[in-house]
Amino acid sequence: MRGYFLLFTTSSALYAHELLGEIEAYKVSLVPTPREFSSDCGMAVYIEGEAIEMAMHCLDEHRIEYEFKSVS
Amino acid sequence: MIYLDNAATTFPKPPDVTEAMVSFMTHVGANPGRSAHTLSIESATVMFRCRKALSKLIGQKDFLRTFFTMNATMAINTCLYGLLKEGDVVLTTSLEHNALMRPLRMLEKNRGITLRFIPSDFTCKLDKKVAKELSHGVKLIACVHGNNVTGALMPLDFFATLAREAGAYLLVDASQSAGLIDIDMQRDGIDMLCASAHKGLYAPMGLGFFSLSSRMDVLESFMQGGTGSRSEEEIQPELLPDKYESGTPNMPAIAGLLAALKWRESIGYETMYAHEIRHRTQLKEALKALDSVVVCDVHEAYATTGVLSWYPKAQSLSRVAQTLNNQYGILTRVGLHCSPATHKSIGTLSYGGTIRFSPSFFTTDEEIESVILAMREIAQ
Repeated sequence: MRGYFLLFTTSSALYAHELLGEIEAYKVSLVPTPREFSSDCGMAVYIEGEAIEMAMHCLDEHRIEYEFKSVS
Repeated sequence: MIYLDNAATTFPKPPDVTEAMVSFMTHVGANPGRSAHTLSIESATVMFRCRKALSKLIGQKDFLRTFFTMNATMAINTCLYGLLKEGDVVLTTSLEHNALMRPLRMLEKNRGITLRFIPSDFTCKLDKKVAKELSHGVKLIACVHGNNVTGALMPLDFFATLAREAGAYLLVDASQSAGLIDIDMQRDGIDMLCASAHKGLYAPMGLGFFSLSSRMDVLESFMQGGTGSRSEEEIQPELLPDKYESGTPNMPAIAGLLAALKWRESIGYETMYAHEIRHRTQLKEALKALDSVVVCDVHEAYATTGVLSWYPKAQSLSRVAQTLNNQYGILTRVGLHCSPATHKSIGTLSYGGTIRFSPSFFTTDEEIESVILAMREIAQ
């Protein structure tokens, strides 16, 4: 599965990238927020891997607000 | 020259700090949080790491609750203006720096808050009995930690208990103590910790911070503006840390602070504190041996920072300070030190204040010996 975690502050984007980067199951990278998903001028976390729910749980646990946009 | 004005700002800074700033300016230089290109991400990462390291130092478990400002004054103003409303009562001390006193006085005048003051004797000892009596019904207890005139360290544990019993918030101005004294927001019961970064933290000037406990979601933003987040909205976002950080931050200084935090971690509180206190003690004992000067003692129950104030009995303050500067190259601060309340409490207001010696970790034994010799010569 692939997709973008849209974060709403630069700090939360970096924090999410750091947390998800520690999980071996995922390949993550910081990218500009895709315009088709948000008008925010900041960063998003691109993620590839199975069971994205685990990543969502991780962000929830750390009280990081996000939106997840799946891409095919 | 012998620089004994470290309570105004520490000098020199660790070489690592200068190198980090130059490196940032040379190789990064981009605005954090305004773009997502390589250098912007690098810049934002510096800020992110600095926020985490600073939060760790002050016992802030949630690093997104630590915010950068221009200085401690801006941090204090942000907290006071964000919290206080008409009719609120604030308990503070009679030993406050104008960074806290002036915004409180302005809020008293313009917003109708009420101020109560805990009295102090001439050794900075607070009247705890009166403090308890005055604490009923207060919304906020606001106090300095390290007094910038005498070095007296205020009893944070007492303030925390007082605040808890009164159901009040506790704001602490740690500008003179952050980096020198172990402060843990959670352990010490602090709701709002404000400080400058360029004193005991050895970062460059133009940078301060505040950190909020989880109780402080009630704090409104003081300044509003661009944050790089929720850009489609014309109202300030509630997201942390953006709620309290509008506009472009002082990134070279933040890069410097990150380096300073790493540097000071390698030294530790005990070594840094012992170094300053040893020099303060030597200066104090030497001054006390002179008949021509008066040392501003701090009550024995109170610990101190490295700051020491004194004044000549018969000579003009400014003339003695000028002699120290011109003839001996000893740089001090003379006057009221932006804390007229302290001078009033310790009885030095009518003298025009004091001369302040404030050593740092970089002050050497040889420098202290030279200062003592100079003082003996001037006293003759």
